[in-house]
Amino acid sequence: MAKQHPADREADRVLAIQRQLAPRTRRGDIILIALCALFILIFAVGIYCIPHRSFSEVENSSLQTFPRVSSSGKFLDRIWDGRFMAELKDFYTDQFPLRDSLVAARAKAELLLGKGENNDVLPGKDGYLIKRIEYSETQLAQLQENLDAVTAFRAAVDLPVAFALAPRGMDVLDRCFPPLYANDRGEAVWAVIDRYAAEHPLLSLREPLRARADAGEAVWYRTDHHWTTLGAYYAYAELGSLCGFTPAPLDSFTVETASTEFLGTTYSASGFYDTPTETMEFFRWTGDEACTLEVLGGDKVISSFDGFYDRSYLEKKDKYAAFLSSNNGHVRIRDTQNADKPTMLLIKDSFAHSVVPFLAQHFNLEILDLRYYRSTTAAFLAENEVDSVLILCGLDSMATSNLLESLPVGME
Amino acid sequence: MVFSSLEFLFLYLPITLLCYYAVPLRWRNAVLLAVSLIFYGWGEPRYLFLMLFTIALDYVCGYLVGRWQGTPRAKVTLVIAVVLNLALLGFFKYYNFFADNLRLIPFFGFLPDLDLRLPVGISFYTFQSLSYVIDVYRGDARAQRDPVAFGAYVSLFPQLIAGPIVRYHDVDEQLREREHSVLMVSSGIRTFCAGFAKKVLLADVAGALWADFAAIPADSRTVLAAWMGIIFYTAQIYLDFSAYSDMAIGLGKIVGFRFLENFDYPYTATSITDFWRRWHISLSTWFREYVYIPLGGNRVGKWKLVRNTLVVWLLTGFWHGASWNFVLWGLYYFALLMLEKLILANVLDKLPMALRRLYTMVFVIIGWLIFTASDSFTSGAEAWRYFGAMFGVGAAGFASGTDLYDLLRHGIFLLIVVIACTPLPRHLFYRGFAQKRWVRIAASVACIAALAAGTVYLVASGFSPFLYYRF
Repeated sequence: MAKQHPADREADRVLAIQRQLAPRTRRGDIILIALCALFILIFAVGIYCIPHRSFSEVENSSLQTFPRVSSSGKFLDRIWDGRFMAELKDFYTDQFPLRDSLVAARAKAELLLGKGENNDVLPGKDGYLIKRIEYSETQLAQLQENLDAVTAFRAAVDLPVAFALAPRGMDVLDRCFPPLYANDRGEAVWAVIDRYAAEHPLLSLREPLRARADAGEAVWYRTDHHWTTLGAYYAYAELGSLCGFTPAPLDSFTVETASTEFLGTTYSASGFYDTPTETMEFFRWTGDEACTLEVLGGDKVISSFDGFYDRSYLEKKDKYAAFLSSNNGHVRIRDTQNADKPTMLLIKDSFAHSVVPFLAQHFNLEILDLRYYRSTTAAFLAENEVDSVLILCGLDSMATSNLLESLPVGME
Repeated sequence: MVFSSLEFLFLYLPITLLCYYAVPLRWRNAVLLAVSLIFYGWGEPRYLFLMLFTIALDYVCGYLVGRWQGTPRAKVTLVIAVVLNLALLGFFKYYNFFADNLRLIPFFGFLPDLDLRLPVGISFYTFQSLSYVIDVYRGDARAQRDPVAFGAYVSLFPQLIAGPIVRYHDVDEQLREREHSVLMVSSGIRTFCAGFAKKVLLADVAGALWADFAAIPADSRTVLAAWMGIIFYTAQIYLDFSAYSDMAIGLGKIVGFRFLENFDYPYTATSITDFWRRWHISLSTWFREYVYIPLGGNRVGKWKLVRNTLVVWLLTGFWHGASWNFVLWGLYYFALLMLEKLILANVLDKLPMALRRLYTMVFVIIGWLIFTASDSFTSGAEAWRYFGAMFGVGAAGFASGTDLYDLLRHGIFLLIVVIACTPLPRHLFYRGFAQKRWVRIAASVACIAALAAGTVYLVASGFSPFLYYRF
């Protein structure tokens, strides 16, 4: 037989020490066992004694409730293919007693360990939470594909096409970075953008917004990945020369406070749950109520509003969704008082939502989000008359989704 | 199910232990078998049949081998058992690999793509079950007459899915009679809690960092980022796997079993040979006892020795995964070990300790890059580029500002990780444990704190896979 491994000799020695001390440590050992058992039992039983939530407000995501158990054969199927167990796993994570406090505790612990951030969220200056985003090779390739799709679309279509890129928060908030943070790696993606912009028309909104942010203007939400309505205004102002309109001056708008309770996506991801809430604003212009917003599914109108805002979202967690009533495949905006505005086709992601109220002063809008739109842009253009096209998207969705890939599909 | 999950800790474990300690001694193996089968079936209920088949097969073969001890029939039965066990392992673990590679040859184009999912822990329990039949054949253990006890041995949930690989003769006695005591339970709790904290608070965090560093595009990867990344992976794989072994050993003690140690602080090794005496001990021991020594061990000529070592390392590499990089990894260690044995042995002895440790760690770290190549990179070429970047070839400079920031902010964590890889904490603890009452109290407080902190991290991340889960 093989001789004993030194590690086993050591383990034996340790157990021997424990055994030798056992008479003296017995009481302490029993207390340890009892405390561990108590700790486990409290949560084991506790999870079934507390009310279960199907949605987490702070995390802005739906939660798994206790998986369905029914006496029919279906239940056995769900065990057999493992679905029941997978749901039970999620149930334990999502409904665990004190979940929100535990998530917040972890965020605190990470800071205490000197990590300076939690879940890639940097606690910046002036109360800004900045999402730190670095792209992998695959994501950079995805970005390139989206950019190439725009090039192909532009070549195939007979309309003026403007293309503008919304930056990420970290691209404009340099001023608010924590003192030791260095952004080289986050900056790498701009090499791809610059290379593209050198050969193709592309309006990067980064520089003008950064200049505003540097000057201390609140162009970005402290707790969300979107620009504020003020930031959206500056984006709109930049678009003027590109899209052929004269931007209205800032003081022509009336500022309406939509909510003072806003906590956005960066907040949800951060675990820094003691972050103060912030204000969300609508910039109103005279006559904007005459505009109607229709959410379309195919030819049918799913819902419609006067103005651009779905105020029901202001009562919920995801308040930014009040702009244009969240993400929809196809939204149409018409001015009932002024029918002869030119029509713009806007291909966009959510960054455009807060810009649309400004653009609507000059255009009737057909707004497509290709991630949700069931048909193709080509088919849309074959059936609808538009005068110009604006593509306005966030850098992050271009790198992390196939946002624009279907743009040239079916053209020519 | 894995140990570092909420449903294990707060559902499975309390129910299991309550049942186990509620029944009289003679029923405890039956309870163990039942709960172990539930544990195994939790992730993939269909493969329960595979497990039951293995238990039945080796029970019968072991029984027959024992009965026909010393006759040719025993040998035939042994061969049948070995062939069938390896055939099952081979089919479920390696079919895809062989089919994919053979299909490159035109004649084998007919091989279908079966898309088999690897049965959890099959590499571990097949080896355990095989050791039983072989031990009985060799007379190192008596055949187990009680099918329940045997079933409990093969499926024992603490080490079922990621080891340590418990050889039959090491637990033969304990299956009949084992120590259920306050001492064993409390000692088991301490071991389990240490493993739990190591897994959730250190290994998972290091793993997430490795994922971040591995995802840096090759164009912007610096020398420092490449090293930091692979060092975090090096930390992860040891902490993760040894944490699993700790938890297994701890849980074993809680139900009265003593398993052998699986790790002996491998990152303090002073040579590659020494590293392999300290890393995944139960696997090396298995290969030594059931492959290397039967082949003649090292009491043979130089060339046969090389051949035997080569066989063992090809198998070791391939055991870790059905992919070429694992074969390469095995060959890499074969080459290093042969080099040490035949050439370097005398040179190494003369070097200062610090230098020997540095030499060992550099090669171990490079080994881990080969090991993780098929998991962390899209192609071998990508892994090769990463390797290049570690030595400045094709790297985007030595360090970027972000690298320095990351190094700084993970400084404390890195320090904790390094300490966790050395015997220092254990040393301090047991010296104090014997002498000071307050150390013992602190240790108990630390156990509860580890459970609590681990729970916080589990809830907050909701994600904690075991690396060795899939081997």
